[in-house]
Amino acid sequence: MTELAQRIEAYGVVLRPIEPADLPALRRWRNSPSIRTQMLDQRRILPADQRRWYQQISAQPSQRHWCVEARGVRTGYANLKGFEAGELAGQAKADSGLYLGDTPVRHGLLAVAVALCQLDAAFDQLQIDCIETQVKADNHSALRLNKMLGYQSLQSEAEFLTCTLTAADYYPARTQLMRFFRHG
Amino acid sequence: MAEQPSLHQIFATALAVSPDLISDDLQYQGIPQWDSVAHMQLIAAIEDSFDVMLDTDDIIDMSSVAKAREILQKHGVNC
Repeated sequence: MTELAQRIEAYGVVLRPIEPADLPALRRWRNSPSIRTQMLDQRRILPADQRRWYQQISAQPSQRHWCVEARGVRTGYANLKGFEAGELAGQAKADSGLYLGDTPVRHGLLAVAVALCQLDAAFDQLQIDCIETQVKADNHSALRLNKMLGYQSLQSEAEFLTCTLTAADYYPARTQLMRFFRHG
Repeated sequence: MAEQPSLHQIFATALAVSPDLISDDLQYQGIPQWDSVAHMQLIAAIEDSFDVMLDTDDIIDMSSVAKAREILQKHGVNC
């Protein structure tokens, strides 16, 4: 697996590879009703399921799975998953996902900061042509954030919308969002 | 010169909610309307209304209406 986009530090957050010590917190957040009910797979994740998942992703060059840290505190999860087997860099299409745990460091810019890190990795480092994500049609906050990031909502399948993003749509959106990331 | 809107009015407009829902105790994500996108709209509205430029730490720390008032005071705005 290449070293591209293994660890990203920008916009006041860190996206780093998941470690075994992260698994209990990630599972707790993933199983919380507020997150689980927004997922395509809404089953509760058991520890054994998660251990298998962790073993699988550790050997997957087509995917990146990150633990998110803000102000030195573990606070969420993000991923990019290529549609094809093989190295993620250069793929035509990849799926993106993220969620934030209920932690004391959660703030109004956290979701957009994580998304910007994830998408910078996708377009600037990994040179992926198109990012796709499924969002529940009633998850208005996620849909509004995706729209602000430049995503286009394409089609409705059952209760989920498919949102797609290209670099051509992302870069102008990122420029608009940069006004919120400045230091006095 | 137009009268400056109150901080509560700015919150109500940016979050698209009734002013009755706004109090100094209201916190980020305390109502569904105050999400990450609304937070950015709120920051833009506050900067435009009070002619201030907030840095990222201010934007991150603005976790409640009371905290917004405190941060604005730091910038010389009494509201």
